Amino acid sequence: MRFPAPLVTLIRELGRLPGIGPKSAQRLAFHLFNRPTSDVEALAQALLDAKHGLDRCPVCFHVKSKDAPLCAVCEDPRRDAALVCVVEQPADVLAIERSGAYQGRYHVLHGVLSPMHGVGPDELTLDALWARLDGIEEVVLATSTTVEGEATAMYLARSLHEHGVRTSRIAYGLPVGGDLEYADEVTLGQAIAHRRPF
Amino acid sequence: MPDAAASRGAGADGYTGRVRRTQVRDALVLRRSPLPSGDVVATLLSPTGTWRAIARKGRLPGGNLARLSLFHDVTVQFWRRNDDDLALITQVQLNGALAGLARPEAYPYAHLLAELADVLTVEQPVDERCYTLVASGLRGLHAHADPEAVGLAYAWRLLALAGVAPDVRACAGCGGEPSHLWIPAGQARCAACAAGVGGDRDADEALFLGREALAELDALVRGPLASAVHHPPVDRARHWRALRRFVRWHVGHVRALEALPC
Repeated sequence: MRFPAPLVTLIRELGRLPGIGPKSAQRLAFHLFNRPTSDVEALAQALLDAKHGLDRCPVCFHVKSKDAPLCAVCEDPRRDAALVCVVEQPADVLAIERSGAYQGRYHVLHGVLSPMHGVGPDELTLDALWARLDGIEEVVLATSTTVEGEATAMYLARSLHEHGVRTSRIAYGLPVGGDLEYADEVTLGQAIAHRRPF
Repeated sequence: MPDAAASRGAGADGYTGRVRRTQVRDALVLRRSPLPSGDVVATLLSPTGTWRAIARKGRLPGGNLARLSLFHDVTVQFWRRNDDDLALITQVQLNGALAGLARPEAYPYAHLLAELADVLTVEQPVDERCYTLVASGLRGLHAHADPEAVGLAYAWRLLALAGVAPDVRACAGCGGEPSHLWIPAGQARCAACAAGVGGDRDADEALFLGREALAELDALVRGPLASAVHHPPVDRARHWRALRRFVRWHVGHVRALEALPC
């Protein structure tokens, strides 16, 4: 049986979203079909508003409202301007903000170095990072602890040392509340290697 | 552990009645694509070939599936229904983490080996030695003081294993002293024969390398691997150029190779 053309289009468009396969797209499409028109219109409007109303901050490349000149973090005068935390994606900024433990500013790379995916230093927002180094005392490298994140952090650390800027790397270790017995070998090894006086 | 693709258990899926097989297999992680849902799709190289699998919630830190990092040597437990495209990874055991591969001097070459192994094994029957060679190459890049030499030697050796490395021992036209690499044929030519088939110095299809560089190339392709790594070519830029053009012609676009600075 053939679906009507609008439903096929909706399934195809939903299926193009990351993490959504054909079956999930079909489920979502039928879910939307069964919702009241006002709900679907609100969703469509929210999508359009997000697309048209959001932009990247020209300083740190975090998400900002198109009406504002800078993102909320860069605009906040209480933030420590001498401390910059480098992260891979805007979602990482939100994760660190939720921790409540950081009061500096950010720089979002929008990716990690990955030659096999065609991502080199030129594809990241590194030129903007070099341009804002004046007045920065320390850069915290908070890329993921994957091989790609580690390689990006090492590359950044070397380049930043050449610029005469102090760097630090987020600590490795055991997750809070976890049992030692269930920790993986690499995490446990790093936790022991980077132990601190107590 | 030998790759036995050992079936640990088989039984009927409770919902559909289809047979579900749990297997254990050694593998190297060639590619890793994190999804926004927290899952990870990995391309794995095993002694039996390249395959793809999904690790549900593989992006969560500290979990069992977080061991599925790029270039890691792992043993994975997975299961797959007959009509599934991707195997579902349920357990990962780490056999060797190669932290040295994240060094900027080794990282691009690790990508080169992984991408080359991936493209050379797509829809091809795979020699078990491919797995051994890539594992050895990654360990070499991790530990060796000169990762560039390791990357160059293993890249040519992977091509040789796939049957596409050039034979440069003598001029294929007259049997004389070769000076050019004739890229389309994967052969060497002397200057006269290269000119005869339309190749000038550094023309598109005939690359001038010179007698010494061709001897070095032969050692990279056919000589003992340890010797190729410990006595790398003198003019490496010339060899990378040759490799890049050779791969582009015979294999296709390999992004990690194009991205190399040399």
